[in-house]
Amino acid sequence: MRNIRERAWECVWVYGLSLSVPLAMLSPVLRCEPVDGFPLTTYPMYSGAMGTTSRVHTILGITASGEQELLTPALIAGDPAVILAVRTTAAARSPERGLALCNTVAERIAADPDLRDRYVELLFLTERYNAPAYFLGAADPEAIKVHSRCPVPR
Amino acid sequence: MRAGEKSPQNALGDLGALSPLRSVDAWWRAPAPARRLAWVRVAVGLYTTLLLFGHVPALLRRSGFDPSRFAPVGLLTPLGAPPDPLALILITAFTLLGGLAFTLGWRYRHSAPLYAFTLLALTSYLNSWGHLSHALNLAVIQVLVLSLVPAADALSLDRRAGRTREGKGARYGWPLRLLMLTVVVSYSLAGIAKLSNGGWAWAKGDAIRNNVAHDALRKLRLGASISPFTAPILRQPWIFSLFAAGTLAVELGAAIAMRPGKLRRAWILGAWAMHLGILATMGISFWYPLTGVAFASFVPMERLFDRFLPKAWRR
Repeated sequence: MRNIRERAWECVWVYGLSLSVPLAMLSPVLRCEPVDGFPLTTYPMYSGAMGTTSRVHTILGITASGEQELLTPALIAGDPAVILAVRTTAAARSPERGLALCNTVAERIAADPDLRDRYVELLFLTERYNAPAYFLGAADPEAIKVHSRCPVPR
Repeated sequence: MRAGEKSPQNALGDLGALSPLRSVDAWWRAPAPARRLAWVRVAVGLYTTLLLFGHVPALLRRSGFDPSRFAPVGLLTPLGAPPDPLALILITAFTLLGGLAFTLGWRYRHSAPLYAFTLLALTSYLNSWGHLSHALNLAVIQVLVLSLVPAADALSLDRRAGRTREGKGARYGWPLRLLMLTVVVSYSLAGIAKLSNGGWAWAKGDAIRNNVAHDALRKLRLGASISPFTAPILRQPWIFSLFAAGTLAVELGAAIAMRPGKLRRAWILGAWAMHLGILATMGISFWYPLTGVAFASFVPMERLFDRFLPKAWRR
Protein backbone atom coordinates (compact mmCIF):
# COMPACT_ATOMS: atom_id res chain seq x y z
CA MET A 1 0.00 0.00 0.00
CA ARG A 2 2.81 2.36 0.95
CA ASN A 3 4.62 1.50 -2.27
CA ILE A 4 1.56 2.37 -4.36
CA ARG A 5 1.11 5.63 -2.50
CA GLU A 6 4.76 6.54 -3.02
CA ARG A 7 4.54 5.74 -6.73
CA ALA A 8 1.36 7.76 -7.10
CA TRP A 9 2.94 10.71 -5.31
CA GLU A 10 6.06 10.42 -7.46
CA CYS A 11 3.89 10.35 -10.59
CA VAL A 12 2.01 13.46 -9.50
CA TRP A 13 5.26 15.28 -8.74
CA VAL A 14 7.02 14.28 -11.98
CA TYR A 15 4.12 15.11 -14.27
CA GLY A 16 2.83 18.03 -12.23
CA LEU A 17 6.17 19.80 -12.63
CA SER A 18 6.74 18.52 -16.18
CA LEU A 19 3.40 19.95 -17.34
CA SER A 20 3.22 23.11 -15.25
CA VAL A 21 6.63 24.50 -16.34
CA PRO A 22 5.99 24.43 -20.12
CA LEU A 23 2.38 25.53 -19.61
CA ALA A 24 3.56 28.49 -17.53
CA MET A 25 6.10 29.35 -20.25
CA LEU A 26 3.37 29.19 -22.90
CA SER A 27 0.87 31.16 -20.82
CA PRO A 28 1.87 34.65 -22.15
CA VAL A 29 0.87 33.64 -25.70
CA LEU A 30 -2.25 31.75 -24.63
CA ARG A 31 -3.89 34.98 -23.43
CA CYS A 32 -6.32 36.88 -25.68
CA GLU A 33 -3.79 39.73 -25.72
CA PRO A 34 -0.27 38.25 -25.50
CA VAL A 35 1.64 39.93 -22.67
CA ASP A 36 5.41 40.21 -22.43
CA GLY A 37 6.81 39.90 -18.91
CA PHE A 38 9.55 38.41 -16.81
CA PRO A 39 10.49 35.59 -16.59
CA LEU A 40 7.49 34.52 -18.69
CA THR A 41 7.76 36.18 -22.07
CA THR A 42 6.45 36.11 -25.61
CA TYR A 43 9.98 36.85 -26.96
CA PRO A 44 8.69 39.70 -29.15
CA MET A 45 12.08 41.30 -29.85
CA TYR A 46 12.61 42.19 -33.51
CA SER A 47 9.55 40.20 -34.53
CA GLY A 48 7.49 43.04 -36.03
CA ALA A 49 7.10 43.79 -39.73
CA MET A 50 9.08 47.00 -39.48
CA GLY A 51 9.31 49.50 -42.32
CA THR A 52 12.33 51.55 -43.32
CA THR A 53 11.30 54.70 -41.41
CA SER A 54 13.02 55.04 -38.08
CA ARG A 55 12.34 57.68 -35.44
CA VAL A 56 15.25 58.19 -33.07
CA HIS A 57 14.93 60.19 -29.85
CA THR A 58 18.18 61.62 -28.57
CA ILE A 59 19.77 64.48 -26.65
CA LEU A 60 22.54 66.53 -28.22
CA GLY A 61 25.03 68.80 -26.52
CA ILE A 62 25.50 72.29 -28.03
CA THR A 63 28.99 73.72 -27.68
CA ALA A 64 29.80 77.42 -27.24
CA SER A 65 30.63 77.60 -30.97
CA GLY A 66 27.19 76.15 -31.84
CA GLU A 67 28.27 72.63 -32.83
CA GLN A 68 25.94 69.74 -32.00
CA GLU A 69 27.57 66.68 -30.39
CA LEU A 70 26.26 63.28 -29.38
CA LEU A 71 26.19 62.53 -25.66
CA THR A 72 26.49 59.03 -24.14
CA PRO A 73 23.88 56.59 -22.78
CA ALA A 74 25.36 57.07 -19.28
CA LEU A 75 24.76 60.84 -19.46
CA ILE A 76 21.26 60.42 -20.89
CA ALA A 77 19.97 57.64 -18.62
CA GLY A 78 22.46 57.45 -15.77
CA ASP A 79 23.54 53.98 -16.92
CA PRO A 80 25.82 52.83 -19.74
CA ALA A 81 23.19 50.35 -21.03
CA VAL A 82 22.04 51.91 -24.30
CA ILE A 83 18.63 50.27 -24.12
CA LEU A 84 17.87 52.23 -20.95
CA ALA A 85 18.72 55.44 -22.80
CA VAL A 86 16.35 54.34 -25.59
CA ARG A 87 13.54 53.76 -23.08
CA THR A 88 14.29 56.94 -21.14
CA THR A 89 14.13 59.21 -24.19
CA ALA A 90 11.09 57.41 -25.64
CA ALA A 91 9.20 57.88 -22.37
CA ALA A 92 10.02 61.60 -22.16
CA ARG A 93 8.44 63.01 -25.32
CA SER A 94 5.73 65.02 -23.58
CA PRO A 95 6.73 68.72 -23.03
CA GLU A 96 6.94 68.44 -19.21
CA ARG A 97 8.79 65.13 -19.16
CA GLY A 98 11.03 66.24 -21.99
CA LEU A 99 12.11 69.36 -20.13
CA ALA A 100 12.59 67.37 -16.92
CA LEU A 101 14.83 64.86 -18.73
CA CYS A 102 16.76 67.67 -20.41
CA ASN A 103 17.40 69.32 -17.03
CA THR A 104 18.42 66.01 -15.41
CA VAL A 105 20.99 65.38 -18.15
CA ALA A 106 22.20 69.00 -17.88
CA GLU A 107 22.78 68.48 -14.14
CA ARG A 108 24.79 65.33 -14.86
CA ILE A 109 26.94 67.29 -17.30
CA ALA A 110 27.35 70.17 -14.84
CA ALA A 111 28.58 67.67 -12.22
CA ASP A 112 31.22 66.31 -14.60
CA PRO A 113 34.39 68.50 -14.46
CA ASP A 114 35.47 67.27 -17.91
CA LEU A 115 32.19 68.20 -19.59
CA ARG A 116 30.64 71.13 -17.76
CA ASP A 117 32.60 73.72 -19.75
CA ARG A 118 32.13 71.92 -23.04
CA TYR A 119 28.37 72.37 -23.50
CA VAL A 120 26.28 75.49 -23.04
CA GLU A 121 22.91 73.99 -23.93
CA LEU A 122 21.18 70.65 -24.56
CA LEU A 123 18.65 69.78 -27.23
CA PHE A 124 16.15 66.94 -26.83
CA LEU A 125 14.80 65.95 -30.23
CA THR A 126 13.36 63.24 -32.44
CA GLU A 127 15.00 62.61 -35.80
CA ARG A 128 13.36 60.71 -38.66
CA TYR A 129 15.55 58.60 -40.93
CA ASN A 130 15.33 55.97 -43.62
CA ALA A 131 17.31 53.50 -41.51
CA PRO A 132 18.74 51.16 -44.21
CA ALA A 133 19.53 54.20 -46.41
CA TYR A 134 21.51 55.75 -43.53
CA PHE A 135 24.04 52.94 -43.85
CA LEU A 136 24.18 53.40 -47.62
CA GLY A 137 25.28 57.01 -47.24
CA ALA A 138 22.05 59.01 -46.65
CA ALA A 139 23.16 60.12 -43.20
CA ASP A 140 21.04 63.29 -42.88
CA PRO A 141 17.68 63.02 -41.08
CA GLU A 142 14.53 63.43 -43.19
CA ALA A 143 12.88 65.46 -40.43
CA ILE A 144 13.69 66.79 -36.97
CA LYS A 145 11.30 67.66 -34.15
CA VAL A 146 12.71 69.51 -31.14
CA HIS A 147 10.96 68.59 -27.89
CA SER A 148 12.85 70.82 -25.49
CA ARG A 149 16.10 72.68 -24.92
CA CYS A 150 17.73 73.62 -21.66
CA PRO A 151 20.92 75.39 -20.53
CA VAL A 152 23.76 73.58 -18.78
CA PRO A 153 23.99 75.12 -15.27
CA ARG A 154 27.19 77.02 -14.47
CA MET B 1 22.46 4.51 -16.84
CA ARG B 2 24.65 2.39 -14.59
CA ALA B 3 25.68 -1.12 -15.64
CA GLY B 4 22.97 -3.64 -14.96
CA GLU B 5 20.33 -1.05 -14.27
CA LYS B 6 16.96 -1.72 -15.82
CA SER B 7 14.57 0.83 -17.24
CA PRO B 8 12.47 2.44 -14.54
CA GLN B 9 9.34 0.72 -13.44
CA ASN B 10 6.65 2.49 -15.33
CA ALA B 11 4.63 4.86 -13.19
CA LEU B 12 1.59 3.81 -15.20
CA GLY B 13 2.65 0.17 -15.20
CA ASP B 14 -0.66 -1.30 -14.04
CA LEU B 15 -2.74 0.45 -16.67
CA GLY B 16 -2.33 -1.91 -19.61
CA ALA B 17 -5.01 -0.23 -21.71
CA LEU B 18 -3.02 2.99 -21.67
CA SER B 19 -0.02 1.68 -23.56
CA PRO B 20 0.64 4.95 -25.48
CA LEU B 21 0.84 6.74 -22.15
CA ARG B 22 3.17 4.01 -20.88
CA SER B 23 5.44 4.62 -23.88
CA VAL B 24 5.47 8.34 -23.21
CA ASP B 25 6.16 7.69 -19.55
CA ALA B 26 8.99 5.28 -20.37
CA TRP B 27 10.54 7.89 -22.70
CA TRP B 28 10.07 10.83 -20.35
CA ARG B 29 11.46 8.97 -17.34
CA ALA B 30 14.17 7.05 -19.18
CA PRO B 31 17.19 6.76 -16.88
CA ALA B 32 20.18 9.07 -16.95
CA PRO B 33 23.26 9.21 -14.73
CA ALA B 34 23.03 11.42 -11.64
CA ARG B 35 26.28 13.08 -12.72
CA ARG B 36 24.76 14.30 -15.99
CA LEU B 37 22.11 16.30 -14.14
CA ALA B 38 24.71 17.35 -11.57
CA TRP B 39 26.97 18.75 -14.30
CA VAL B 40 24.06 20.78 -15.64
CA ARG B 41 23.53 22.15 -12.12
CA VAL B 42 27.21 23.09 -11.87
CA ALA B 43 27.20 24.77 -15.29
CA VAL B 44 23.95 26.69 -14.75
CA GLY B 45 24.88 27.59 -11.16
CA LEU B 46 28.32 28.84 -12.15
CA TYR B 47 26.91 30.80 -15.08
CA THR B 48 24.14 32.51 -13.12
CA THR B 49 26.38 33.28 -10.14
CA LEU B 50 29.07 34.86 -12.35
CA LEU B 51 26.38 36.69 -14.32
CA LEU B 52 24.91 38.09 -11.13
CA PHE B 53 28.37 39.08 -9.90
CA GLY B 54 28.91 40.92 -13.17
CA HIS B 55 25.56 42.68 -12.75
CA VAL B 56 26.27 44.00 -9.24
CA PRO B 57 27.34 47.48 -10.52
CA ALA B 58 24.18 47.70 -12.68
CA LEU B 59 22.03 46.66 -9.70
CA LEU B 60 23.61 49.31 -7.50
CA ARG B 61 23.30 52.00 -10.17
CA ARG B 62 19.59 51.29 -10.44
CA SER B 63 19.13 52.00 -6.75
CA GLY B 64 20.10 55.59 -7.59
CA PHE B 65 17.54 55.96 -10.39
CA ASP B 66 14.55 58.27 -10.11
CA PRO B 67 11.84 56.10 -8.42
CA SER B 68 9.30 57.32 -11.01
CA ARG B 69 11.11 55.13 -13.55
CA PHE B 70 10.36 52.00 -11.51
CA ALA B 71 8.00 49.72 -13.50
CA PRO B 72 7.97 46.46 -11.51
CA VAL B 73 7.77 43.11 -13.29
CA GLY B 74 7.99 39.46 -12.24
CA LEU B 75 8.26 38.84 -8.54
CA LEU B 76 8.29 42.59 -7.83
CA THR B 77 4.98 43.32 -9.60
CA PRO B 78 3.09 43.93 -6.31
CA LEU B 79 5.61 46.60 -5.20
CA GLY B 80 4.57 50.24 -5.55
CA ALA B 81 8.11 51.60 -5.11
CA PRO B 82 11.65 50.29 -5.55
CA PRO B 83 13.07 48.37 -2.58
CA ASP B 84 15.36 50.08 -0.11
CA PRO B 85 19.01 50.21 -1.35
CA LEU B 86 20.25 48.49 1.83
CA ALA B 87 17.76 45.65 1.33
CA LEU B 88 18.95 45.39 -2.28
CA ILE B 89 22.60 45.08 -1.19
CA LEU B 90 21.72 42.42 1.42
CA ILE B 91 19.63 40.39 -1.05
CA THR B 92 22.40 40.63 -3.65
CA ALA B 93 25.00 39.35 -1.18
CA PHE B 94 22.65 36.60 -0.01
CA THR B 95 21.92 35.57 -3.60
CA LEU B 96 25.62 35.41 -4.48
CA LEU B 97 26.19 33.09 -1.51
CA GLY B 98 23.12 31.12 -2.58
CA GLY B 99 24.61 30.77 -6.06
CA LEU B 100 27.78 29.38 -4.54
CA ALA B 101 25.77 26.88 -2.44
CA PHE B 102 23.71 25.92 -5.53
CA THR B 103 26.82 25.35 -7.64
CA LEU B 104 28.65 23.35 -4.97
CA GLY B 105 25.52 21.45 -3.93
CA TRP B 106 25.60 22.49 -0.26
CA ARG B 107 22.40 21.84 1.73
CA TYR B 108 20.78 21.76 -1.69
CA ARG B 109 17.19 20.96 -0.68
CA HIS B 110 16.96 24.27 1.13
CA SER B 111 19.64 26.43 -0.47
CA ALA B 112 18.58 25.77 -4.09
CA PRO B 113 14.94 26.96 -3.82
CA LEU B 114 16.14 29.98 -1.82
CA TYR B 115 18.70 30.79 -4.50
CA ALA B 116 16.09 30.39 -7.26
CA PHE B 117 13.69 32.69 -5.42
CA THR B 118 16.23 35.45 -4.72
CA LEU B 119 17.68 35.19 -8.24
CA LEU B 120 14.18 35.64 -9.63
CA ALA B 121 13.70 38.67 -7.34
CA LEU B 122 16.99 40.31 -8.40
CA THR B 123 16.53 39.66 -12.12
CA SER B 124 12.98 41.01 -11.78
CA TYR B 125 14.52 44.13 -10.24
CA LEU B 126 17.01 44.45 -13.13
CA ASN B 127 14.08 44.31 -15.56
CA SER B 128 11.88 46.73 -13.62
CA TRP B 129 13.21 49.96 -15.10
CA GLY B 130 11.30 50.24 -18.34
CA HIS B 131 13.13 47.64 -20.40
CA LEU B 132 12.61 43.87 -20.46
CA SER B 133 15.82 42.04 -21.32
CA HIS B 134 15.14 38.63 -22.84
CA ALA B 135 18.63 37.31 -22.16
CA LEU B 136 17.95 36.17 -18.60
CA ASN B 137 14.57 34.42 -18.86
CA LEU B 138 15.72 30.92 -19.81
CA ALA B 139 18.56 30.87 -17.27
CA VAL B 140 16.21 31.89 -14.46
CA ILE B 141 13.60 29.29 -15.47
CA GLN B 142 16.27 26.57 -15.61
CA VAL B 143 17.51 27.52 -12.13
CA LEU B 144 13.90 27.31 -10.88
CA VAL B 145 13.55 23.81 -12.38
CA LEU B 146 16.94 22.65 -11.09
CA SER B 147 16.11 23.89 -7.60
CA LEU B 148 13.16 21.49 -7.43
CA VAL B 149 14.84 18.30 -8.69
CA PRO B 150 17.57 16.06 -7.23
CA ALA B 151 20.42 17.80 -9.05
CA ALA B 152 22.90 17.53 -6.16
CA ASP B 153 22.93 13.75 -5.70
CA ALA B 154 26.39 13.77 -7.32
CA LEU B 155 29.27 16.22 -7.66
CA SER B 156 28.17 17.98 -4.51
CA LEU B 157 29.20 18.78 -0.97
CA ASP B 158 25.99 17.07 0.16
CA ARG B 159 27.12 13.85 -1.51
CA ARG B 160 30.60 14.07 0.03
CA ALA B 161 29.11 14.71 3.47
CA GLY B 162 26.73 11.75 3.11
CA ARG B 163 23.61 13.93 3.21
CA THR B 164 22.45 12.46 -0.09
CA ARG B 165 23.22 9.49 -2.31
CA GLU B 166 22.72 8.52 -5.92
CA GLY B 167 19.33 6.93 -6.59
CA LYS B 168 18.03 5.06 -9.60
CA GLY B 169 18.63 6.62 -13.00
CA ALA B 170 14.91 7.37 -13.48
CA ARG B 171 15.24 10.16 -10.90
CA TYR B 172 17.60 12.08 -13.17
CA GLY B 173 16.26 11.48 -16.69
CA TRP B 174 13.02 13.46 -16.58
CA PRO B 175 14.55 16.62 -15.07
CA LEU B 176 17.01 16.67 -17.97
CA ARG B 177 14.14 16.30 -20.45
CA LEU B 178 12.22 19.05 -18.70
CA LEU B 179 15.26 21.33 -18.97
CA MET B 180 15.49 20.47 -22.68
CA LEU B 181 11.80 21.27 -23.03
CA THR B 182 12.32 24.73 -21.52
CA VAL B 183 14.87 25.42 -24.26
CA VAL B 184 12.54 24.10 -26.97
CA VAL B 185 9.58 26.16 -25.69
CA SER B 186 11.71 29.33 -25.49
CA TYR B 187 12.92 29.10 -29.09
CA SER B 188 9.50 28.02 -30.35
CA LEU B 189 7.89 31.05 -28.68
CA ALA B 190 10.40 33.35 -30.39
CA GLY B 191 9.52 31.77 -33.75
CA ILE B 192 5.77 32.01 -33.08
CA ALA B 193 6.17 35.71 -32.16
CA LYS B 194 7.81 36.40 -35.54
CA LEU B 195 5.02 34.67 -37.43
CA SER B 196 2.21 36.28 -35.44
CA ASN B 197 3.73 39.80 -35.47
CA GLY B 198 5.46 39.82 -38.85
CA GLY B 199 3.71 37.00 -40.72
CA TRP B 200 5.48 34.80 -43.26
CA ALA B 201 6.73 38.03 -44.87
CA TRP B 202 9.22 38.12 -41.98
CA ALA B 203 11.06 35.27 -43.76
CA LYS B 204 11.85 37.54 -46.74
CA GLY B 205 14.44 39.36 -44.65
CA ASP B 206 13.26 42.98 -45.07
CA ALA B 207 11.83 43.12 -41.55
CA ILE B 208 15.03 41.92 -39.90
CA ARG B 209 17.17 44.19 -42.09
CA ASN B 210 15.05 47.20 -41.11
CA ASN B 211 15.14 46.12 -37.45
CA VAL B 212 18.93 45.76 -37.50
CA ALA B 213 19.31 49.14 -39.23
CA HIS B 214 16.93 50.83 -36.76
CA ASP B 215 18.68 49.26 -33.76
CA ALA B 216 22.14 50.31 -35.00
CA LEU B 217 20.99 53.81 -35.90
CA ARG B 218 19.46 54.56 -32.52
CA LYS B 219 22.59 53.24 -30.79
CA LEU B 220 24.76 55.54 -32.88
CA ARG B 221 22.51 58.57 -32.27
CA LEU B 222 22.57 57.92 -28.53
CA GLY B 223 26.35 57.97 -28.52
CA ALA B 224 26.91 54.21 -28.22
CA SER B 225 29.03 52.07 -30.50
CA ILE B 226 27.83 49.31 -32.84
CA SER B 227 29.39 46.06 -34.02
CA PRO B 228 32.08 46.64 -36.66
CA PHE B 229 30.21 44.14 -38.87
CA THR B 230 26.83 45.93 -38.76
CA ALA B 231 27.39 48.58 -41.44
CA PRO B 232 29.11 46.25 -43.98
CA ILE B 233 26.37 43.61 -43.54
CA LEU B 234 23.60 46.21 -43.94
CA ARG B 235 25.11 47.07 -47.32
CA GLN B 236 24.39 43.47 -48.47
CA PRO B 237 20.57 43.19 -48.31
CA TRP B 238 20.46 39.64 -49.73
CA ILE B 239 22.17 38.29 -46.58
CA PHE B 240 19.07 39.11 -44.53
CA SER B 241 16.91 36.64 -46.47
CA LEU B 242 19.33 33.92 -45.34
CA PHE B 243 19.35 35.23 -41.76
CA ALA B 244 15.56 35.35 -41.61
CA ALA B 245 15.05 31.88 -43.09
CA GLY B 246 17.76 30.43 -40.83
CA THR B 247 16.31 32.10 -37.73
CA LEU B 248 12.81 30.79 -38.43
CA ALA B 249 14.15 27.29 -39.18
CA VAL B 250 16.07 27.21 -35.87
CA GLU B 251 13.24 28.66 -33.79
CA LEU B 252 10.28 26.81 -35.28
CA GLY B 253 12.31 23.60 -35.61
CA ALA B 254 13.47 23.56 -32.00
CA ALA B 255 11.32 20.54 -31.17
CA ILE B 256 13.66 18.25 -33.13
CA ALA B 257 16.22 18.74 -30.37
CA MET B 258 14.09 16.59 -28.06
CA ARG B 259 15.17 13.57 -30.08
CA PRO B 260 18.79 12.48 -29.54
CA GLY B 261 21.07 12.05 -32.54
CA LYS B 262 22.47 14.01 -35.45
CA LEU B 263 19.44 16.30 -35.81
CA ARG B 264 19.80 17.40 -32.18
CA ARG B 265 23.48 18.16 -32.68
CA ALA B 266 22.69 20.03 -35.90
CA TRP B 267 19.99 22.08 -34.14
CA ILE B 268 22.30 23.02 -31.26
CA LEU B 269 24.96 24.08 -33.75
CA GLY B 270 22.36 26.04 -35.72
CA ALA B 271 21.03 27.82 -32.61
CA TRP B 272 24.56 28.66 -31.49
CA ALA B 273 25.43 29.98 -34.97
CA MET B 274 22.26 32.09 -34.93
CA HIS B 275 23.34 33.77 -31.69
CA LEU B 276 26.83 34.28 -33.10
CA GLY B 277 25.21 35.98 -36.09
CA ILE B 278 23.14 38.21 -33.78
CA LEU B 279 26.31 39.16 -31.91
CA ALA B 280 28.12 39.98 -35.16
CA THR B 281 25.30 41.94 -36.80
CA MET B 282 23.69 43.64 -33.82
CA GLY B 283 26.30 43.47 -31.06
CA ILE B 284 23.68 41.83 -28.82
CA SER B 285 25.19 39.06 -26.74
CA PHE B 286 22.99 36.23 -25.53
CA TRP B 287 25.72 34.69 -23.38
CA TYR B 288 23.60 31.83 -22.05
CA PRO B 289 23.40 30.07 -25.43
CA LEU B 290 26.72 31.49 -26.68
CA THR B 291 28.62 29.88 -23.80
CA GLY B 292 26.71 26.65 -24.45
CA VAL B 293 25.25 26.54 -20.92
CA ALA B 294 21.69 26.84 -22.27
CA PHE B 295 22.24 23.58 -24.15
CA ALA B 296 23.99 21.71 -21.31
CA SER B 297 20.99 19.47 -20.64
CA PHE B 298 21.23 18.07 -24.20
CA VAL B 299 24.84 16.97 -23.78
CA PRO B 300 26.22 13.96 -21.86
CA MET B 301 28.41 16.29 -19.85
CA GLU B 302 29.70 13.55 -17.55
CA ARG B 303 31.41 11.90 -20.53
CA LEU B 304 33.03 15.20 -21.50
CA PHE B 305 34.19 16.38 -18.10
CA ASP B 306 34.60 13.41 -15.78
CA ARG B 307 37.99 12.59 -17.29
CA PHE B 308 39.32 15.95 -16.07
CA LEU B 309 38.17 15.38 -12.49
CA PRO B 310 40.23 13.46 -9.93
CA LYS B 311 38.39 10.26 -8.96
CA ALA B 312 37.75 11.52 -5.42
CA TRP B 313 35.82 14.50 -6.82
CA ARG B 314 33.44 12.44 -8.95
CA ARG B 315 30.90 12.27 -6.16
